[in-house]
Amino acid sequence: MQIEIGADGVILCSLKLHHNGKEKEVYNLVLDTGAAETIIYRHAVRELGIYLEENDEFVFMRGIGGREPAFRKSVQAVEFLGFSASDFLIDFGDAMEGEDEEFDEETVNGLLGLDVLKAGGFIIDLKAMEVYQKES
Amino acid sequence: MQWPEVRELYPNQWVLLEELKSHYNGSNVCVDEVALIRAILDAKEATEELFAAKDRRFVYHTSKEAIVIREIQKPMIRRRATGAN
Repeated sequence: MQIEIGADGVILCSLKLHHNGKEKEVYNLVLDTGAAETIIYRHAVRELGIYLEENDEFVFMRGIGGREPAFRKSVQAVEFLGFSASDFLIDFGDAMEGEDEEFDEETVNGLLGLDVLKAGGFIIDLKAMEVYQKES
Repeated sequence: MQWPEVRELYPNQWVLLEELKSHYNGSNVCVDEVALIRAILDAKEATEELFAAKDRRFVYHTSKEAIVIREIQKPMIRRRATGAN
């Protein structure tokens, strides 16, 4: 896939999630090799009906502004640039604590992290500006 | 209140708590003492409460024997897809 550095200075990509019999392509994810785990903001997946359930782990993320929760959930299936995996653990959190802002098609919806990139054996070629799976 | 007391009062469900006393065990927060705010109806409400909770409040399920929550360092930088950083 051709990639580009967006106006914000980062690479944006999308991830397709399948869960509870529904599917959603989540756009405007920052391709982030500095994120160990992929995290999707809850506002982007409301229609998938993803909730913290008894067996899900939740974590506290400590950063600017104190401590914020996120929960890890096994999503039925994920697809990224031709790579797909089932029962994939994804973190779900909020973009910012106590935020009342509205979300639109320009909003960043999360971070596509190393977990997905490694699982698919992806190569990020910043010369040719492409992201693709390495052929075995 | 101690967690076992909460578990006895509201078995096998979500509850809204306030952390009163806790300690770190590695990167885990082990909560020793809590104030029970109220019981929570279902997973949907528990999720909303978790993200709405301020300060030292959080939700937990009473099926768990102990309150142990992993804490990680993570920058959560919100941006818009276009525009200056």
